[in-house]
Amino acid sequence: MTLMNFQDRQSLLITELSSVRTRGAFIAALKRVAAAFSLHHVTLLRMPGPDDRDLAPLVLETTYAPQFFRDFDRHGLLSICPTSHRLQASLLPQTWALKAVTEDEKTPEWQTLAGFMIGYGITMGIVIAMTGLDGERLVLRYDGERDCLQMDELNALNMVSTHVFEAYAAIRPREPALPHALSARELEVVRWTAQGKTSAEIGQILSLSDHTVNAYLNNAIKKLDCVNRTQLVAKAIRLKLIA
Amino acid sequence: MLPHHESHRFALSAEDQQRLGISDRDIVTLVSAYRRFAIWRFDLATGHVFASAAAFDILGLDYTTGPMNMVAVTARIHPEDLPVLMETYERASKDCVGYHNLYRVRDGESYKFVRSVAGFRRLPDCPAGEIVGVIYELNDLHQFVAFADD
Repeated sequence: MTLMNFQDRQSLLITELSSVRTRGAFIAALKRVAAAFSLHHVTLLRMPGPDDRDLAPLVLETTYAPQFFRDFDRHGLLSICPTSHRLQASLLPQTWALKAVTEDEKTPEWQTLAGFMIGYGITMGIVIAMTGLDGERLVLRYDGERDCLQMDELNALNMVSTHVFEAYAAIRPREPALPHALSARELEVVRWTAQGKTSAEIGQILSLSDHTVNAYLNNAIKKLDCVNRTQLVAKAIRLKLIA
Repeated sequence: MLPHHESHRFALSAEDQQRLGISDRDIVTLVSAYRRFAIWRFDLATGHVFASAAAFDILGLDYTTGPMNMVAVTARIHPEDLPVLMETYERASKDCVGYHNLYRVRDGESYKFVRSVAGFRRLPDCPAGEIVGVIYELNDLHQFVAFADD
């Protein structure tokens, strides 16, 4: 048996990524990248902004089951995720590991986040950000339960990730950059509408008047170039603005 | 009443029904026999979908009488089919047209095929119009023969 060396494995992954033409092939390649570095999951998402409260609407592709991000958001974990905050303030890849956290850093919020991740068998991760050709900031998040990556592995993963971004650019739907066209409040109102709530019910949930809710919805309709709420909901789901 | 359209050219004519003595109710009963078959309505103005209990059953969701939770519905659709399905809704609601589509819905650990057929109609009390349709499982290939007692 011949064991493939590190460079060969990296070269194979890059070759596979450069030949990706479909979404299915892209997901398969993502899984292979994760496996090659003994990681469990990969997620490609838009960079969370300071106003974002939920991660699910930002996810573009992932090897997780959709329930993971719904649960993540249900617990309100994005706002307490320290890696997310560091990522927004740096161009460097960010690594995290539960066991690297000091006793002083183990706040109740951290305990919630750690408990959630452990429940999914995740104890460490790497997050790599990149700015696309269209100026959009994208993030690749790798999660697993291995020891932290050595520097040569991190360098290799960084290089492979550049090709992941490139492969995604080749297969992504040709839509104008819309994700940040909707404000956090507009997204919230569209999400509740998709969940079957009326304007009055949304107003009660968000402590807004019906009039304000309708104004948010009408703004969202205009921004996404739709003609009615049905088209708005379908388009928001298709563009993964809500999930 | 749905407007007549080119896509309905296979539909039975009223003359055929009268000649053969088969009512609308009989046809619905026969078409929906031996499979899970449901009806639904998309209110274009509110963006809400309402459906009969069997639709929730087909999609593997708990039945509610109010609007369906589209986020929960889409979580049941195969991820590769979801973008096309949403594009179908987008075009149907924008252009006020009917459609048919096939897609996969989660069924335990695997997926089953489901078909939706829809038509657009405008009603006096619903000026924006609505899309009404049927949804049913495509299980015919696995069911060679079946009989009813009555």
